[in-house]
Amino acid sequence: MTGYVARKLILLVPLLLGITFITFLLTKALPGEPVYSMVGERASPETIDKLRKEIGSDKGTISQYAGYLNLILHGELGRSYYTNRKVSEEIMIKLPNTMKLAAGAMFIAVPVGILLGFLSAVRKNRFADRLISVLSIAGLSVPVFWSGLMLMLFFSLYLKWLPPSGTGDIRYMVLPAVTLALPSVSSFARITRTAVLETGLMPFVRTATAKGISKTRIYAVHIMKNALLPVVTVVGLDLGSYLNGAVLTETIFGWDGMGRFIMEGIIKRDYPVIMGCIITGTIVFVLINLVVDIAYSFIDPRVRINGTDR
Amino acid sequence: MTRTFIKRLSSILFCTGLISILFSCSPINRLDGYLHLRLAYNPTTLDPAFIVDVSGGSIAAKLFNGLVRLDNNLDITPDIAERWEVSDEGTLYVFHLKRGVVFSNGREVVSSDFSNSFKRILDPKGRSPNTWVFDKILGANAYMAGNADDITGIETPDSHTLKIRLEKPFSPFLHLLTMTAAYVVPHEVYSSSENDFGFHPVGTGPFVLERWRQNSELLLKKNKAYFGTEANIAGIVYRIIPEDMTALAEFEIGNIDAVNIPASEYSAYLGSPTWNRHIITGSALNTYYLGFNCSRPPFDNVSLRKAVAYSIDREKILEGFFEKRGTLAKGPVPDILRTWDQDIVYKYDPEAAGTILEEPGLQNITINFYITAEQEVADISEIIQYYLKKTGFNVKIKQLEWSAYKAALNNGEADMFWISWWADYPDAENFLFPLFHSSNHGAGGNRTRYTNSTADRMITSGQTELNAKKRANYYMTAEKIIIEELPLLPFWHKKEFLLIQPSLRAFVTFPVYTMDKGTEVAF
Amino acid sequence: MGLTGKLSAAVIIMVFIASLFSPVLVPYDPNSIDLDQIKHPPSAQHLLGTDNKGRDILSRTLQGGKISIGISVLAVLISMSAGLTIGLVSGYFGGKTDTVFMSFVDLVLAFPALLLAIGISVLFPPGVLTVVIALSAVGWASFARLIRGNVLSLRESVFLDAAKAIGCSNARVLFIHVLPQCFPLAFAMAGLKLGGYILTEAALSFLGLGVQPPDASWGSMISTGRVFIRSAPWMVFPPGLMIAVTALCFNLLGDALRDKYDPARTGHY
Repeated sequence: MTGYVARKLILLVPLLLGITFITFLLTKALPGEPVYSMVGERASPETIDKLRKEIGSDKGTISQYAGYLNLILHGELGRSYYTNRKVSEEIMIKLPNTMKLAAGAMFIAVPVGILLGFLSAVRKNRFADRLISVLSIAGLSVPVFWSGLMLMLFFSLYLKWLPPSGTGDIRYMVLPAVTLALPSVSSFARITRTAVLETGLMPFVRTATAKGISKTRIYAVHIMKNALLPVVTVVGLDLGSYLNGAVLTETIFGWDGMGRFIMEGIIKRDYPVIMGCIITGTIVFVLINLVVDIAYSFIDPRVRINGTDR
Repeated sequence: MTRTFIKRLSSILFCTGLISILFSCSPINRLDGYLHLRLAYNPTTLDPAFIVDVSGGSIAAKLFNGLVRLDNNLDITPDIAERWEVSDEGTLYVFHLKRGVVFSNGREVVSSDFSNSFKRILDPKGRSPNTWVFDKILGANAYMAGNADDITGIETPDSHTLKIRLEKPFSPFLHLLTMTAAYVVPHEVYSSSENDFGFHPVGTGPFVLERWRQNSELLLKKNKAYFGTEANIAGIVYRIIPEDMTALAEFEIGNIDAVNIPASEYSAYLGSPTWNRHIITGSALNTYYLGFNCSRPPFDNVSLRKAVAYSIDREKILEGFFEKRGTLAKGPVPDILRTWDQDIVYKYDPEAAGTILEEPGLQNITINFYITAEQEVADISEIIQYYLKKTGFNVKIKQLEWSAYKAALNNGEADMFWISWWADYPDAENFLFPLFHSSNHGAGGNRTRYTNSTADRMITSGQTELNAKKRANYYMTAEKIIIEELPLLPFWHKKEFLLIQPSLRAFVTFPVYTMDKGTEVAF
Repeated sequence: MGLTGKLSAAVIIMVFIASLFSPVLVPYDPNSIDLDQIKHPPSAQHLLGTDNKGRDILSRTLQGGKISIGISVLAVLISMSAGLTIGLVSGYFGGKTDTVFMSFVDLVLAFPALLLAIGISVLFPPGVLTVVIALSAVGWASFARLIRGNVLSLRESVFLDAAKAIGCSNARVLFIHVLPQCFPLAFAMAGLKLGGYILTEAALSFLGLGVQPPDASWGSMISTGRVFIRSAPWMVFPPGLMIAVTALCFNLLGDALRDKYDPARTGHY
C-alpha cells in the first residue's frame, strides 16, 4: 500500500503539469483580456500597452507558461493582477473556510443520507421507502440558490434564529452547510438504497441467511459493509466538488471560500488566481481520491489497490 | 429491526433539533454606534492609484482627501487646499494648502506629498490605470514615457504651496482633482509597504481602516484627528454581500442600515405601508444606452440607426418594465449637467421606422446584439428584440460573460450593444469626450467607434475654453450633432433607490460617489 | 417494467409532447412581450400569470420543457455511454490502463466545471447544443469513476473467474458478464443526473452560457425568477414544479430500468 500511495503522489506531478498546461491554454483561448478589467471603463491605449507588458500578457503563450512554471519552482503562486495580493496567502485564508464548510456539510449529509438510504432499502416499496424516495428526489430537484434562499428567509428572517450571511462562528455555518448538504443527502440516500438492494441479492447473503444469522446482523454488518463501496465513491466525488468551492452557496451566504475566489478569477481573467486555485484543487482532489481508494481496500478486502496484480 | 432504525432516526432528528435550539440565539450582528452598509463586491484595492471600481472608490472617499472636492451642489469646494489661483490663460494652478492636516500616522501633509502622489500614478514603471487623470500636466507624457526624470509641470515652491502647469488649458481640471486618483497618500508608508498599501491604507480622511476581512467585511473607525467636520458616527462597517436577497434579509433583521432596492422588490417596498416612508431616492450621473457600431455595416448607416430608435418605445419600457426608476434621456448628457435646452427626440413611431426601412438595401437586416449575462440587461434586450422584430429587424441576442463582452466591445465585434456610462466628475465633458471623441475608440470609452470631425472639434474646444457660457455652447453643438447622427440611443438616467432604517438621520444618496464623506449621517 | 416505471415514462413523454405542441395548445407566443400586463398573478386570461415582461408563463413553461428535457436526456445519454465505456475498461483491465484512465478522470473532475463550460462555450457558439456538450464534458467523469469502482469489486467475483476458465474472451466477459452488472448502478446514477442537469443548465444561464434569450428553459426560468420569490412567486413555481415532477419521473424510470436489467432478477446468474 505504501508503494501505491507513493506512486499516486508521484503521479501528481505529471497530473499537475498537464492540468496547469491545459488551463493555461484554455484561459488564453478565452476571449477577454485581464488588462480590460484592470483599467476599468476608460484608459488610454498607452496605459493598456504598458500594463500588458507589466503582466507579461504581450508575450507568447509558451513563454508565459514557462515563466509561470519557473515561478512555481521557486515555491510561489504569483500575485493577483488586480489586488496585487499573493495568491498563496489568499488561498491560505479561503481554503480553510471552504474545508470548514465542506466538513460541516459532510457531517450532515453522510449520516443522514446513508441512514435514509438504508431505511429506504430495508422498507423497500413500503410507505417509508416511497416517502424517502420522493423527498430525496425533491431535494435533488431544488436548485441550490432556491433552497438556500428559502432556508435563509425562513430561519433568518421569520424565525430570527441564524444570521443570514457572513463568515464567523458555527452559527454562520449552519445554513450554508445544510444548503450544501441537501443535494448530497439525496444522492447518498439514492445510491445507498440501490447498493443495499444490490448486495441483498448476492449469494453470500443467502448463505448467511441459510446459516441462520439474524436479519439485523446481516443488514448491519454484511450488507452494509459491502454496500458502502459505491457510497464511498459518491461521497468522495461530492467532497471533491465541495472543496473546489461551492460558488452558488458561497455567493448566497456571503461565505469567503474557494468557489467565489476562482469564479472571480475566471470572470476577470486573473490568470495567477485561476492557476493557483486549480493547482490547489487538483492536489486536494487527488488526496481525496487516494483516501477513497484506500477506504475501498479497507471496506472490501477483495479490492487490492497495489494495482500490479494484473 | 426497522423499529430500531426508526428509533435511531428519531433520536438523530431530536439531536438536530437540540443543536438548533442551542444555537438559536439572535441573528443580530452589529457594532453599537457604527453605520452598517452593504457592498455587493469586495473592493479590489483601496490604493487611490489603482482604484477603478465604485466599491473601492466610495470607501477611499472616506479614507482620503484631495486638494479640492465637490460640495452638495456639485460645485468645487476646498478640501486640503485652502484656496487656489488660476492664471488667466488657464494653464497655471497655484494651490495653498491648509496647515495642520495630518495623515492618520500623525505626520503633517505637505505639498511634496501631492507631487509624489501624482507622480506615482504617472510612474513609467508603475501599473496605475488612471494615468489619463494627470496626462494634461506639462511634461507628464515625457515622464510617463521614461524620457524625463521629473514632471516639469509640478512644482513645490514651499511646504504648503503646490504649482501645477498644464500643457494647454483644460477647463474641467479641478474636477479631475476631485477624483479618487488625485487623493494624497503618505510617501514613506506606500514606499515601504510595496504592494501592501492597498490593504493598509493611510490617509487624511474622516475615517481610518481598522480591519479588512477579504470578501467578508471592512471596518472603518472615526478619525478623531480629522481636519474637517468630525463624523457623527463611531465608524462604518461594510458587509460584503453578493446576493441581493441576502442583503435584504440582513436589512430587514436590522444588520444593515441602508440597502439599494433590487428591481424585483421595488414595487413591493413602494406599496408597503411600513417601508415606503423609508425609501430615499436620488439622481445619479449615468446614462444607459443602446450603442451601435458606427464603423461598419449595417450601422454605419445613420438612417438605419434612426429606424431602430423609432422602433422602440423607450417611454413605455421605462414606465412599464423599469417602473419609472429613472428619467427618460434626452441625450447622452444627463439633465443635471446640461445647461442648454434639449427636447426628447425619436419618440416611438413605428411608421417612421417602416418608411426608413423601405429604402433600398435596408430589408431583412440581421443585428448581432451583444449583452452581458446580467439579468436586468437580458430582460431589456428581450424587450428591445421584441420591438425591433415588429418593424422587421432580425435581432440575434448574444449573451457573454463580462470579460468576453468587454473584449468584444473594445474590439468592435458587436453590431449593437447595451451598456451604461457613469460619471467620474460632474461635467458634460465627462460624457462627451470619452464616449464620442474619435481618439477614444474602444477601451477609451467610445465603443460605438463614432467619428465626426466637427463633433471632435467642438468637444476639444470645450475642453480648452475657460468661459463657461462659450464652453456650454461648444458642448451644446456637439451634443446636437451627436443626437442627430445617433451613434447611440440613450435610454434613461437611472435613479438610486435606497431603503434605510427608521433610526437613521441625514442619510442621503449622492450623484457622484466621491461626494460622500460619511460625516453627515447620524443615528 | 413495473407500473411505476411505465407511468413515469408516460408522464415524461406526455410533458415532452405537450411542449412540442405548445403552439397549438396555448393561445400565447411564449416570447410575446406585453408591457401592459407585467407581473400579473394567475387569472382566467393567463392561467399561470405573466412574468416581468408580460409574457405568458404557461406558454413559456411548456416551451421550456422541450429544451430542458431535451438537454438533460441528450447529455445523460452521452455522459453515460462515455462513462460506462471508460469505467468498464479501466476497472476491468486495471494496472496501467486504470492508472492512465483514472488520471484523466481525475483531471476532469479536479478541473473547475465552470471554467470547462466557459471554454466550451467559446469553442462552440452559445446555445442548446453547447449546453449539452458542456454538461456531458463535465458529467461523464463521475459516471466513469462510479462504474470503475463497481467493476473493481466485480472483477474479483467467482463468476468472472468461471467465465474466464471456460475460455471467454475479454470482450465477451466485459460486455456479456460485466456490463449488465453495471447497468443498475448506471441507471440509478442516470436518474439522478437527469434532474441534476436541468439544474446545472440553470447555473450556466447565470453566466450567459445557457439557453440564449428570449428562449426559455425551466432552469433559466427559475434562475431569472428567483429574485421575484417574494414579489411574484408565480414566476418560479410552475417551472420549479415541472422540474420536480420530471426529476421524480426520471428517477422512478431509472429505478424501473435498473430492476429490469438487474441480472440477478432475470436469472442470468
